[in-house]
Formats: sequence, structure tokens, C-alpha cells
Amino acid sequence: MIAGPGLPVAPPELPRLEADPAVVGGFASELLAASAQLDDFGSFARGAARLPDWSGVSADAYRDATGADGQRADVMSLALREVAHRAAAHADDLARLRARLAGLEELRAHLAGEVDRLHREAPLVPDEQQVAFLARCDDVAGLVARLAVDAAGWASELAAEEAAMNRSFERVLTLDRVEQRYAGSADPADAALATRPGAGATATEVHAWWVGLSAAAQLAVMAASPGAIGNLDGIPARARDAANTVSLERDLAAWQNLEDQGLLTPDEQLWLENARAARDAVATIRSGLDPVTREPVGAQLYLYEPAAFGGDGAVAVAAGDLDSAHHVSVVVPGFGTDAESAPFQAERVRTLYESVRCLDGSGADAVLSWIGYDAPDNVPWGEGWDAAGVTGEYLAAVGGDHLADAVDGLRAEHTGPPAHLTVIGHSYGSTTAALAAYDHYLRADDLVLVGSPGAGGGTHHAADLGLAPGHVWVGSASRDPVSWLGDRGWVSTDSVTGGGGLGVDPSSDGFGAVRFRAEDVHRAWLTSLDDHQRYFDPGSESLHNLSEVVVGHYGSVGLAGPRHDPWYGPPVDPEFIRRPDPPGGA
Amino acid sequence: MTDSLVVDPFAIGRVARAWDEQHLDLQAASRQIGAAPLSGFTPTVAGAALRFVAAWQQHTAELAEGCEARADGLRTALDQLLTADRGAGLAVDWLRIATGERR
Repeated sequence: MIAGPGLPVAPPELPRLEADPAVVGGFASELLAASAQLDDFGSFARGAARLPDWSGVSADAYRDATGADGQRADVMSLALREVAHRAAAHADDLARLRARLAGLEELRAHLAGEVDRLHREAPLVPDEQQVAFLARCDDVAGLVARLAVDAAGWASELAAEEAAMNRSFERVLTLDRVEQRYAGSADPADAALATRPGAGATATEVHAWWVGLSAAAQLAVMAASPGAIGNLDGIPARARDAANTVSLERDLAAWQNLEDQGLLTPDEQLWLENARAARDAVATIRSGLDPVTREPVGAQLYLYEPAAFGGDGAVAVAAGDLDSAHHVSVVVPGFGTDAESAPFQAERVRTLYESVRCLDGSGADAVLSWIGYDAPDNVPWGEGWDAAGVTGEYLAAVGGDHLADAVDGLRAEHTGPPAHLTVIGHSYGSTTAALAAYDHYLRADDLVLVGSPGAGGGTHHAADLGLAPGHVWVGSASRDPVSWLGDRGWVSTDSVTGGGGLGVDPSSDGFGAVRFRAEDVHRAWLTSLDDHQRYFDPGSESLHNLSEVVVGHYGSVGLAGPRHDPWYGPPVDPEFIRRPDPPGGA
Repeated sequence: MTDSLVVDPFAIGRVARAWDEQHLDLQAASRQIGAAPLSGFTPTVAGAALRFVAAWQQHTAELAEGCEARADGLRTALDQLLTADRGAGLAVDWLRIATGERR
């Protein structure tokens, strides 16, 4: 029988961590946005506020005072930025410490069980097994001792981290301390921005400039001048996200303040709604769970211009990390899209991302919802048969130009081997995507047109789009009326409206695109606009096939035959009579 | 009075309005700092964070109030300039309205 000294003692109680790293990260974001506002004010006081043509005693006194205002704002901005960055690092450290503590807790639970078992077994150990049993006791006792050391180390590390955070707060608590610490300090953002490539620089040139900056200079630019880089093609997505988050938080605070006082102008009201939509879109992405890691889906605010396009706004939000993903896809939405619809579009890309992750569990993927062009406000159905013709291709052509630039930017900023990049255009967005390929060199590996009203007037064959053969894909639900707008039969939208469509239906025979199955079990009996909105629905044939294209599993794509519109009769779609695959059965 | 009206009075009015905007923006920044969430910090840090936020909300609010004072000061200076030059036939009242506080 073994008792007393030979048996290991129970493992020690572990310290607790009463903290929420995500909330600390939010605290840092708010401070960073406020520091950007202070930086803006400093620039104003030293620049536009100077009134150099005004002379006299009052003018001199005024300029002395504004100079002092500017200096004070500059040092305050630097101080607040440093605290914000420290708080962001503190949040990261708390997250790391929490993960480590979870590991220690797991080990402690295991060891407590082992100790308990040894205590129960001790009275029953036969003499011939006592040596082996005591060796087990020693092993467990050693692990318990090691756990105690690790727990003490963990507590010391937390205490050191807390002390560092407290010091950061205390050393700039008063303005006197701020002046002492920062008076005469140059803002590293100023020197960095002075070397920024001018307007018209390529994404590659912008990227070269950015990677040539020190990490400190990059951080400074993101905080001090987020608008200078947040939407600049060639800047890495992570930096764009950080900068745009600063802009977003600053805008929300400023416009919310005006709204609370009843001072918001009609334009600002629109911009505020767009800003809120951008915030909600990011939250929509983050509300998803990665099916592989079971972690919340990462989001990046890639484009944020709430006042763009006459107040319609521009917002692009990604699920996943655009900088490092092996498979990147860009979803270009269509009719009726503006920044306010960003949360709805974000839900689509989150669904696509989750579907892609299920197929490509070992890889890294990113899906971008790109509201980066001025889409027509309404679907043609609501505005009459020829609304698409009234709108024409102009907005799609301008949007295609932006889209080609955006894809160039994604290529330039991507790290590691080039990503497999797919552009998916839905509705009018498919015309935009096709025109990006036809009018420009669209650096995509695959182009997918879903619910397409036409591939643009100049495109008669998939080969005109400049992609490798077999890499232009089309998904057209047989009941989707928008997908029939490009029909070129003897009696068609085009012939009835005198050329009112948006080019050839890419699912028609002779166009040469690879058509995939895009029917849905909930499809209408004849036609319905609802069927124009089902391409990204969970469980749909379309979502499955889109995902297979995005991950490059071309052999797994469910194919469909093309549409045919003979001169002697009505158009024929073989998909019309096929029974759709049930969810999960494609 | 040694000041001169070489400067465009509209320019002074525009800058006064820009100070008004800065006042509102810094007021927003002050509120933003005050509303920054503190609940994520450990109890050991929460006290210092609270003191910091309270102090900086005040620092930024004072800067905002200074902007309002600059805007008002510019309008006073503009008023004096216009009053002195009234004989020149300027549409003084109209100018005051055009360069006055907008919101």
C-alpha cells in the first residue's frame, strides 16, 4: 500500500482572466478614429485656416493662436494614436494569454483526474507493481509542479502586460505630459505620404511604395490619413481594412453627433446610412462560422467611400483574407445595388465563402463583395421592359473600368504564389464583368456570369473576353426573366425594343460559354424575378457549381445544355423541363 | 485700426464656417473617446483606462470649444472690418448673412 508522501498533490488553482480582448480592440479603434480627427484638425489649423492675405494686428494674433492650436492638435493626435496602438497590442496579448490559459486549464483538469486516480488506486497496488506505480506518481507530480511554474509565469506575464498598458495611459494623462513627450516630434506619416506615388500610378507602383515603408510609417499612415490609402489599389487588403475601419469609425461618430443635434444635412444623412450599412456588412460577415476552423469568419473592409456616386456610395467587404488566399473570388452585383445594400450582398458572399470552405477545407479562401461601381437603381422589370436599354451599357462600361483596376490591385498586393482568381458577375454586374474583360485586360482565371441580361454589345463569343478557353462560365435559371433579356431570336426583347438589351445571352448556343446547372427546387412554374435572386441561395445548384469553379474543381461542375432560339419557333431551354437537384444532391 | 480689407471677406467667412465644422468634428471625437468601451479591460487596468478616457474627453472638448471661439472671433473681426469700410458701399448686411454661422 502506498500513501502520503509518495502520492502527488492536487494541481494548483489557476488564475482567472476577467477581460474581453475584442472589446479592448474596439476601444483601440475608437481612440484611433478620434486621433485621426485630431490629425485632420491639426492640418486645418496649419493650412486652410491661416488666411495669408489678411494683415494687421488682429490677423497676426489670429495666426499666432491658430498655430498654437495646430501644434497642440498634432501632439495630441500623436499621443492618442500611440495609446490606441498600445491598446490594440494589449488586446492581442490578452487574446494570446487567454488562449494560453485555456491550455493550462485543460492540462490542470487532466492532471486533477490523474491525481485523483492515483489516490484511488494507491491502496490497491500489489507489491510487485509498486515501483512502477511510484514512477507514475513521480511523473504526475512533476507535471503538477511544472503546471504551477507555468501558471506563475502566466500571471507574471499578465501583470507585466497590465503594467505596460497602465503606463501608456498614465504618461499622457495630462496635456503637460503630452507636450513634454511629443513637442517637436515629426509625424512619421508626413514623410511617408510625401513619397506616395501620384494620381495615375499603377497598382504595382503603389504596392512597391507601400512595402518600402517601415512598419511604423505604415501604422502612422493608416491612422493619420486613412483616406489616402484605404481605397488605393495596390495597398494590401489588411492595411486597407485597418485604414477604412478608422475612416468608418470616425464618420459614424461625426455624423451621429450631427444627427443627435438635428444638424445633419440630407447628403450627410445618406452618407451616414451608407456608413451604417458598411458597419453592418462587416458584422454580417463576422457573424458566420468558418466550417473548417469553427472560428468566426474574418472580414475586411476593402473599399469604403460613403459619398461616392452621388451618395449611392461604394463599399466592398471580403470574407477571408484577400492578401493570402489561394482562391480569391470577386462578386459584382447588379441592378438596384448601392452601398445601402452592402449587408444583403455581404450575406451572399458569406454564404459563398462557407460553401467554398466546405469544398476547400485545406486551403485559404476569400470572397469579396464589390460594390465599386454605380449600378442602375432598379431592375428592368419594375421600370418597364426596356429599362435595361434606357440604362444601356454606359454604367457597366464605367464599372468595368473600375473592376479591371480593382482586380489589378488584388493581383499586385497578393503575397505568395498568385491566387486563383474568379470574377462572378450577377445580373447587370455580369454585363459589367464581361465589359471589364472585353474592354480591358481582366486578370481573372475564371469569369462567371449569372442571371445575365447580356454580355455587352460588342461580345458575340466567349473567346472575345480574353480568358483561356473553357474559363467563361454561365449560370442562367430557366425561370429567371432577366437572363432572357439577351435572347437574340426572331422575336425577342432585343427585336421588340429595337436593340434594347445588353448584348447576347451568354447561355445561348453559339456563345461558347460553359453553362452550369442553376435551377432551384423552389423555382416558379413559369417565370419570376424571385428566380433572379436564387443564384447564391444555400443548397441551390448554382451555389454548388459557383463554389466548384471558385476552387478550380472544374470536373465537379454540373453542366447544362445551352439555350436555343430557332427562327421557326420559340426559344428552347433544356433546363426548363429538367427536375432540379435537391439541396445536397447536385 | 491697422487691419486692412485686402483679404476677401468671403474667405474669412468660409474659414469661420470651417472652424464651425471643426468644432462639430472635435465635439464628435470627444464624445467618441468618452464612449469608448472599457468593459474589456482587467480590473487592474480598468481604473487607469477610466481616468484616461475622462481626461481625454475633456482635453478634446476644450479643443472643440476653442474652435468655436476662433469662428466667433473671425466673425467679430469681419464685422469690424465691414463696419470700418461701410462707406465703401459694401452690401454689409448681405455679407454678414452669407458668411454667418450655418449650423
